[in-house]
Amino acid sequence: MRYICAVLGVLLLSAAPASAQAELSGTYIPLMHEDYIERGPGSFLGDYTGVPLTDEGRAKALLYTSNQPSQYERQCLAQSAGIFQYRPVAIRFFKEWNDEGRVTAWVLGGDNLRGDIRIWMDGRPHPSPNAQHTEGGFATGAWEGDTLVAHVTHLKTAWIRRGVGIPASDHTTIDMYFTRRENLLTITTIQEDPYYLTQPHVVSRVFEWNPRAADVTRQTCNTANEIPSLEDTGQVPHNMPGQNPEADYMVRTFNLPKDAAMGFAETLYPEYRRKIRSLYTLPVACDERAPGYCCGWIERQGLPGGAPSLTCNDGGFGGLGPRGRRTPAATER
Amino acid sequence: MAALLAAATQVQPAAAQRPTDAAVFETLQIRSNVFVIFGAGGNITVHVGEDGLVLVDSGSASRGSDVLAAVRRISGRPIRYIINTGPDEDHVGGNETLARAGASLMDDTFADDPRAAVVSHENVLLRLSGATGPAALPSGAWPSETFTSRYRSLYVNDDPIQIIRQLGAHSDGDAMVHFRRADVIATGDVLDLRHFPVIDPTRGGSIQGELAALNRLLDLVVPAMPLVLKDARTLVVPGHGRVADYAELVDYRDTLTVIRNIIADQIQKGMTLEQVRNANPAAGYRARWGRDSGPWTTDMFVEAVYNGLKNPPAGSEP
Repeated sequence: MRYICAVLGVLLLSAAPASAQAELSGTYIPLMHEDYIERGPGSFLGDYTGVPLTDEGRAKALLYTSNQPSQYERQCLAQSAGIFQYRPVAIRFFKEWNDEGRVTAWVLGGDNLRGDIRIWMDGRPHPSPNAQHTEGGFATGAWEGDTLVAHVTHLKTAWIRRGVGIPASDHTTIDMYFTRRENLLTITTIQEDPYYLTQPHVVSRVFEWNPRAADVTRQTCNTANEIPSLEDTGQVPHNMPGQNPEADYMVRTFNLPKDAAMGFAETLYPEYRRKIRSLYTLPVACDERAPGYCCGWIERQGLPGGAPSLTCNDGGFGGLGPRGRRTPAATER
Repeated sequence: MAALLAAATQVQPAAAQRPTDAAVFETLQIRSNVFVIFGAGGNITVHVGEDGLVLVDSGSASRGSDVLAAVRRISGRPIRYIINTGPDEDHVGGNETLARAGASLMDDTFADDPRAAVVSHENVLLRLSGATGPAALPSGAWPSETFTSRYRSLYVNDDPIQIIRQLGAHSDGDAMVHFRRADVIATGDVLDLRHFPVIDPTRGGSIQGELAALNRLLDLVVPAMPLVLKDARTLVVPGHGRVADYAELVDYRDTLTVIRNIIADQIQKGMTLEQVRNANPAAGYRARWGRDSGPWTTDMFVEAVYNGLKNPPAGSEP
């Protein structure tokens, strides 16, 4: 009992007023130095790192080919409601009022490949399971101090990361946390999925307020016949089980253990890094570009899909990578 | 009437959980004059207008009085038509109760008492009238008007309504109903958002027919495009499960096509049904769409696809 009282006391002392809120309205651009690979050139093939996939999720991802979103039927279907965390595209926030001047909803405006997320602030309940699911889902929100917290349900089936087909189901839910500090907006998304994720998938990104970003979001989409051989056939492009040619891409390219690339929950945690440290050898190509460090797309400069003009920079977090640890292979060179 | 008739409002739990197959009994309004009654067996679409009510399916017999009460809450106008999308009890069981509460638009029916017309493909009547035993429905539940043509068209409630013959998907009595002005399509069990489609080869169902039906639906259903942020789109009422649109159809079609292709490849390699089952050809889709127990398991679905590919049906709708 004494413990409970103590906890309650701490909570009461630390709790911000329920009415506290921040002004989120405006347009924001992503800070591209965060996860630039995903936001810029896109995921590596066969790269499911950082996503706690179930066996089913992994199996579905391995059936995927990038021809799927090129299908006529899928070109204009929205991506995941949380895809803004992975794209190099600006976002815009605005609010809606009722006649009494109360804010009824905050809206994270959509674009050509992502639906509006209308976060209802008027206390309405989530609809029944029989109600239609939409691209932006159904979201309710509340302020926790200066952070707007939204709970999103009623989403459609969509890829968490389209580039490599990491799946989410139509029963996925996403909690979103929006915190603005001066011109910076931090968005944290926590996605759960009863079929494809073993643990919540957490992503945090920072966006910068920029009034000139208003015109960068397209709101229309049109289709073209990108794969003529599929037209009117009803055929669906996909890999066969066990035949995804890119399943070992991360192993071939970065010597990464396959389990790390395939999105097992264990690989999310620091203990896993320690577990594989003694097993890891730096690929020769990486070492040539930046001794002791693997810079991902930098190694592909000059090759198709490479990232021109980028330089290798681990952001000073050398302790997180194998910087300075000369591998036997590299030393021999 | 225009007000939303949501009888139940369930807040989703904080953590994502697998939903149950049993739908909440409730009515949702999806267009100004179109409603869907859930939870009484198969979904029931109710189209309202100056001519009266047009229903697609009637739910289970055991819920007939509940459905009738729900219909009356929507409108007091007479029920004119009940259109059956197939022969299953959970779609036709309420025919008698609802038909007797209605009245046909035509005054020269052979019925002694006024009753709504029950329309279906002829095969539905043959199935119901040929049934024996405790599962057999009384003749009052049988269709009173049948058709065999590709389309049966009505212009009721200022809406062109097309009943589309789509045999050989779920069964040999499949039909879909297109309310063209309302822009709503009721699919029957061709689309079942609870699980893999129930394909019953003993009653003429096949994977070939199922995919043909889904691809035909994709030709009829219009997505929100190019104005993708608008709500404007064709709405789809599946046989079971939530209100849907183009995106759910694409996903369901793609899912079944991929599994069909995998099983076809395994057959080509000479694998037996047992070997195919053990290879788990639905991996990646099984958790969402499959069931390990109950009336329609993943194994049953895989077997239906396997047998359908080994012994293709004579023909299904194009």
